[in-house]
Amino acid sequence: MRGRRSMSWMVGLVGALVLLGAPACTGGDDQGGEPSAGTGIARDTIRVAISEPVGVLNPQDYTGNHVVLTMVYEPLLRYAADGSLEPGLAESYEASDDGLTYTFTLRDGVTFQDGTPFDAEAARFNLERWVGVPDHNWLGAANYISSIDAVDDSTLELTLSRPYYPMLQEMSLTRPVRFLSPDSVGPDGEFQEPVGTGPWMLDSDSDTETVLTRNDSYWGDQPTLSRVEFVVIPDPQARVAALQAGDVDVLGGEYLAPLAPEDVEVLRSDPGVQGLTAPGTSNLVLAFNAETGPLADLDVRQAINMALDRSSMSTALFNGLADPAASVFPTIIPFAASDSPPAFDPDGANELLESAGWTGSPVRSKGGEELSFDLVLDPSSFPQARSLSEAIKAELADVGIEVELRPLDSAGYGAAIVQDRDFDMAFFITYGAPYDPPSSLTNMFESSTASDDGKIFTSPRLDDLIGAALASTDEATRADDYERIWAYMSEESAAAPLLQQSRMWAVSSDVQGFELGATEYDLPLAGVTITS
Amino acid sequence: MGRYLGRRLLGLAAVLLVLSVLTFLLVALAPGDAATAIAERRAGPGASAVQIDHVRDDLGLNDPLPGQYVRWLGGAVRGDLGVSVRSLRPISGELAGRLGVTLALAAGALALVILMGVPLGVVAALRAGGWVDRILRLSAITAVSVPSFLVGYLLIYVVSLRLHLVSTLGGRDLRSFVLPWIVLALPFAGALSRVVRSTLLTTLGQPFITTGLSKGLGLATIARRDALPNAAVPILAVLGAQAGQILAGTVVVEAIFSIEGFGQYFLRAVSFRDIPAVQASVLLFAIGFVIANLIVDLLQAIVDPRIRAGLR
Repeated sequence: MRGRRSMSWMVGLVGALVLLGAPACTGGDDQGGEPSAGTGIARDTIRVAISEPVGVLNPQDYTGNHVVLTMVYEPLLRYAADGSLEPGLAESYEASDDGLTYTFTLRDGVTFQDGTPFDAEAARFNLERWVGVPDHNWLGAANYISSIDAVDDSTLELTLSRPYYPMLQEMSLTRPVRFLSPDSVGPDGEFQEPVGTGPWMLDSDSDTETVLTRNDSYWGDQPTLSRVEFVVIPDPQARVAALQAGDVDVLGGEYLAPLAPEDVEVLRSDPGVQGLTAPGTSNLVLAFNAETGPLADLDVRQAINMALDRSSMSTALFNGLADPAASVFPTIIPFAASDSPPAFDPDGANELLESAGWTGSPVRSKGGEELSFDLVLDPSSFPQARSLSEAIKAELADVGIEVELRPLDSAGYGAAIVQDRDFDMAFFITYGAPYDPPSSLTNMFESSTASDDGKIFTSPRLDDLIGAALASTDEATRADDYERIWAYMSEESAAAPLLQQSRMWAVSSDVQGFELGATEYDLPLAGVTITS
Repeated sequence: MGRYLGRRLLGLAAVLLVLSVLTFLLVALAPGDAATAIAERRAGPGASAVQIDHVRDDLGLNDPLPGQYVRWLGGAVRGDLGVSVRSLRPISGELAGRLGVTLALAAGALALVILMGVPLGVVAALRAGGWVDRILRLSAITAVSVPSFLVGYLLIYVVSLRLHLVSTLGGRDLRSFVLPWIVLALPFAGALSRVVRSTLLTTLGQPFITTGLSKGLGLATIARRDALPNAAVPILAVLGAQAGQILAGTVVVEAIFSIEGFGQYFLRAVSFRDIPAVQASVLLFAIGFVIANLIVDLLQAIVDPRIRAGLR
């Protein structure tokens, strides 16, 4: 009898658990009706993979996803693929000869998505949210704009405290410079709703999905599609599977859902997928902590530069989806150096070290000091760092330099690189378009700019050269100003430029008219259609 | 029963207190700095030392550790788990929104573990030594040994990519829960089936079984009516431990199937060094683990009067 009673509660337990499971899961996501592979992708909706929830879509905050922000909010000027600046919310601008006054003529008839007109007053309201605010002082414009005047509805005048030509380029950035509807903020000016002037507006936002719908009153080219769904897929493998299964239409982009070179290889062999790659706008750079120890010796830095085999790194580790880098910036960046990549010359490196007095084997030393360095890496935010650092370790071992790999998590890495500067070598990636060259130069090479990304190399001479280039008002000599910076960096072996990683995207073959934007921050969908 | 329950709850509180201290220390002593992360979040790529220190002051990160701990615990007891340094939103709210999907994932998997593990274990025990037993043993060992991520990707490849039966994205509707449930349940069902088999075999060797057999009852009937209930106590103990591990297993499965639950929240919190969020997630995982064990203990006490009398 006892046995039967025990049996029945066990059955009851199982039943209860099944029932508990069933209703809870229907509550998971009301958007439901997931299209399974090959069926039911509506022709006016495009689904885009994103690696994490989009965050707070406040242009003056730094958590919101860049790409989504660029779709909702617009700048005064747009950064074009060739590095030139095109009209955005400003139709034209004029700079005074002394480089201290900029006058923008704003586009007529533009309204925010809530109907508020975009005029000089609205522009001033936005600029005042970040100009002069310490939180944004990494940006030159935030420091040097000294007054903001709404001359009339369509004329905005900015006065600078010193000449700073990159101000115009900074006006094309996403955060914090784009424009939010003044009517959308709370009583104390606090951000509430993402309301911009862009072609897309926020429809819904959750941990699993963010939906944008077309802004039918947009002043520019209307997209054909009416809906964009950003689907959160944290796992890189799952993203590839989702594209292949038709659960998403677009995958890739550094700031949406980064693809690994090996994934591109897999996707290229899939007839249902089109791969899009293009040269990237940022360079991967090996930085030296050159202030103390053997790395302060120029010969050692030069020898390391010669001992690195960039082309085998490119083919073996990146499947060719990276090019050997010649300088700190790729040539696609305005004013970048047009050097050719350092030659791979291990014999020359050995000779150089030998003649500089670094002798011995397997690890060279001089005066009791060994050529033994740590290489700090953060594989969670830069997955290729592991294989790349192994390659560097092996190549430097060939010239008698010992490298110890020190993988850290993101937070520990930040502390080691920025606050404690506790590293011998580390990987840096330049910001890329539309930030460069000014932002990477000031944040990574100028000692006076506070930076959360750490410094690659600093010296008083370099500070002077960077300062001179950015303050110059003479366009004719600007290229020469930059040349002096590149020449100095090269003489000093200030860093070892490694690779220019390619931009990697993949879209379903149901998608037509998809083209890469001018930068990795852009996702132009105006001419895109889907048939299925 | 009341006294037993009271004793168990007291023990539970002690365990949670120790856990909270360990959680707190674990994060506090790890290298890295949340204040920098927040300053960057607010100020972009160029947060200065002054700004970072300001944030540190705001968060009380400059206070001595014991003070930080007491303040945190006081809030946690009242259901206030602090504010996420990543989103600047209350953590309780963020976690509450993710509770349903993770519970659905874990509960469904647990049900599947029982539905697969118990019957297969019984069959293996009744056919002990036969080819059915051997096949089941091989399957169980395979299920236990192959890592979840491999099974997950294989299932996605076959079921979603080749057969187009379900979406690769899990946790959206009932259908999309099926693969995650299976992946999460498989290793535990394999282990459970082995436990059920061996426990049942031991029980089947007891004298009262021989008595039953001599009375002319069939082996299957005896197994169902007499042996299984007697074997229930050790099986429940295993299930209790498994329930906690299933909860932990959701971290991997949520990542594979793009399910935004506790596990994903926890992973992001860790990589961002979002200390309050890490602490809250670990605490909730621990509470889930402890509660699962409590339920099992209570069930055992219901099944076996000797336990609630404190005789065992």
